[in-house]
Amino acid sequence: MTNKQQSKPSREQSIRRAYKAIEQMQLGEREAEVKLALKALLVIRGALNPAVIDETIYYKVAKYIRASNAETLSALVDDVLRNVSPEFISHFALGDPVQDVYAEESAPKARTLLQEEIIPLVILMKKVYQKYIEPEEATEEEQAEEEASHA
Amino acid sequence: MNEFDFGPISRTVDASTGKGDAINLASLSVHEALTALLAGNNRDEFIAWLWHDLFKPLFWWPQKNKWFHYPNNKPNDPLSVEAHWSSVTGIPSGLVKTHHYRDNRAFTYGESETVNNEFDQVAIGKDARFVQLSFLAEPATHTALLRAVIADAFMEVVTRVVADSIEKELATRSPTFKRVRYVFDFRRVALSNPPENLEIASLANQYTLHVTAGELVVRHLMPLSRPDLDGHHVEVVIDFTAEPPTGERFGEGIISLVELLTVYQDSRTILMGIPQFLQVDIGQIEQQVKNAAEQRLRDLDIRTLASINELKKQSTTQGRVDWAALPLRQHGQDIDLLAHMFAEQVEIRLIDRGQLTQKVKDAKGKSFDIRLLNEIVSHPIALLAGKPRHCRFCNTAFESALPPVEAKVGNYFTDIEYIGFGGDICPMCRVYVLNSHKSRTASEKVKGVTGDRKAYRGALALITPSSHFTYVEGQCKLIEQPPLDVGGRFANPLQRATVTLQEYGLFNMISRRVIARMWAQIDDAIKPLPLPYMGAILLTQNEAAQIRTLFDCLETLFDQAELVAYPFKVTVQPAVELAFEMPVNDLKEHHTKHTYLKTSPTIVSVDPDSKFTLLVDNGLQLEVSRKFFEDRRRMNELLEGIKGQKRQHNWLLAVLQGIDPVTATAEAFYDYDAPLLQAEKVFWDMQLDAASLAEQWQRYEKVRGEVSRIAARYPMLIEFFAKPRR
Repeated sequence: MTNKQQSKPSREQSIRRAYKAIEQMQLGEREAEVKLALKALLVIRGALNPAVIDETIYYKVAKYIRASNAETLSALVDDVLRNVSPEFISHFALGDPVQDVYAEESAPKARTLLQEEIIPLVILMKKVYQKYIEPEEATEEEQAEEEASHA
Repeated sequence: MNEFDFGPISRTVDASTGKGDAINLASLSVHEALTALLAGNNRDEFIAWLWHDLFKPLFWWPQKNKWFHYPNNKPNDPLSVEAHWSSVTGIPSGLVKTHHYRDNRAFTYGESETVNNEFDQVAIGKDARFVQLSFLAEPATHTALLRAVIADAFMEVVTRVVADSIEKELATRSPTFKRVRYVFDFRRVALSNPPENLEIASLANQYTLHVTAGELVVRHLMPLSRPDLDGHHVEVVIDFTAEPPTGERFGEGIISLVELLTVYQDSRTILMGIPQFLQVDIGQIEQQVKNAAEQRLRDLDIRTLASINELKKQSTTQGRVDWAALPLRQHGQDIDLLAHMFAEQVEIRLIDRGQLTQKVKDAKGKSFDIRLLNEIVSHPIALLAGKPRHCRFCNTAFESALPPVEAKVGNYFTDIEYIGFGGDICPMCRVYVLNSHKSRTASEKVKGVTGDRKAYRGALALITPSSHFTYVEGQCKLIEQPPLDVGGRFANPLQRATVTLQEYGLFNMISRRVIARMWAQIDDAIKPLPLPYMGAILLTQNEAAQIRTLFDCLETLFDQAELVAYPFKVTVQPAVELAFEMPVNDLKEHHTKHTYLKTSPTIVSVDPDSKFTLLVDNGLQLEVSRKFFEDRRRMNELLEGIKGQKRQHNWLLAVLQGIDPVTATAEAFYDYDAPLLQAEKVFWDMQLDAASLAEQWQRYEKVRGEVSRIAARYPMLIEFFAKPRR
């Protein structure tokens, strides 16, 4: 094992890896809108201020997405971020997904999909995030939940 | 899979008959017992018929059209054991060997005149004797219960009468017995080519007959080639007592007397064979049937006695009738509606030997007598012809001493689209009208019997055997060519199966076993069927919970039924008749509804592709098929991780509203701080876990589509999972 392999990738690198993974996913009939919805969620999750993250963060994101009246996908992302994490943190690596959110034709469908099937999309996003960006996040959240359920 | 094995076949039909090469599906045990019952003219003939084809299981076919099978007394013949076994069974030697003789046959009646008619589902033996029950009523659910109770009583009474006469006949000389146990031992053999007489004699010598503990035991050796069948053992017990069939007895391989006697059964008529030596008193049988039906109806809490005032209330024209002048059948102060039914809508008749036959000519111009089954089973329809009155409820033409009326249904009935306007009421439907939920009589109240009457309204489950069977010719598989088939009878699969009176009996037996398997699945598995002689399940609103359980057992009707009749295995489709209505949600008031008027009995083939519609909750027609049960099972799998009835209920409610199953899981855990985490743990990870994230999503889409399809197809599905709250 080399030193390079041992060192933890930077957050920027991780976000890029996650974005690439989403791009390469084969997601069936609704692939375009699912991918774009995931990218939108990646933008939201990637920009969240660590101060607001707890075990309920994904559920909060889901709730705000569902409740949003935003008419476009980009407005939806903006709306959710302002509500969940007004002091969000920008990353260069989020540039590509943000661009897709603004530019892609499937944006209206992705917005509808996000509002109708947000829970499965958020779960998938969470798994992407855990796999490529914050592997330890799962453990922390699930431990918290586990403790809560035994309280 | 429903598999039935009553032993090897007993008969093939040669192409020279003009009917093509064919087999009969009835087994040797069924054939011999039925021949004894229908052709035996006395004790000796009865016993002789029980083993007349003793050596058929050898399947010794020296030529393609010769099946050497009957015991004889010829010197040096491998089957020369007739004298010995005649002595053992106490019958004259020489009787059995003549059973195929055209001249000098020692039997009074032959097989072809009693059980082996050659006319596919067209005719029944002209010299056989039958008792026929006919209902002069169009099939309808609200009379199905009454008809079933009367049919069961009829079958019980005839069975008891026949069992009694057999016992007396067999008791005239020793040995005597009440059962016959046919044993078939399959053994792999190595024979010379061609087989030598000594080898065949060695096999035949292993056949035994003996009477022990009231049972005639006939042991057959079945030589075979296939190693996997070596050691296979089949036992069929024919019980000549009047004991009713039960699931337990089916499990022991017992065929009860009532099964053998039942030749034909549908919603209008039942045809039962009776022995030649039975002295029949139809009047006495009818009275016994009425008494038995009366008792059973009383046990069910169904009234058949009505006061004049109650009858008057059934009509709107009461003032125009002089009730005192009517020839009504009374029981004390009351009118006996059951007596009116028996007098006006039920007929029991004897069809004696030679009766109802007609002369026909064959292709060569030779004249002979046949007895058409169709004419016999359509007798109830013929009886209806010319009847002047028509029932508003069941559309039956009838005649009755009860006065013509403008029929009223009752104050609670608003769904008049299910019945005719105006008109009259036949006696059977009067019983239905009489048994409203508010029909407790003063005498019942005095005896402390209170509360609504629930036996003739609301839920109903009636499942009866039906004679409308089919079989799939293309799926008649030859298990093997028997080793003694030197002549090549079974070298190629035979073209078809012919259906005689015996096959009607056989399919009735199979239907009964299918119904008994359903009954065995519900809680009271050890109890006999509610209508045991008829082989039927009857549950009313009083057993609404059991009806709900029984519904789950209907999946048995979608199993494939296979009949093993060595050397063949055949896919068969026996049938059952079904009248079914169940409450799922409508629990408190269900017994006040006229659900019986809104359903029709339906005949269902036991087959994976069958489907039928059932009325649920007095309102919804639910299509039931194998798919329904598969889908319900699938929903159960999806619900596996969602513990608790309330959460499951919420999940189902959500998916029925069109929400995807993962979101539905989160909603089912709405009281958690992090319901999303629950959705992930108990649904996503359990149901959709896959190697890659993309595959997980694809699996999600598949399950989502699956759930959406199931929810759209079965909007009532939720009720089959969660306990209704009403």
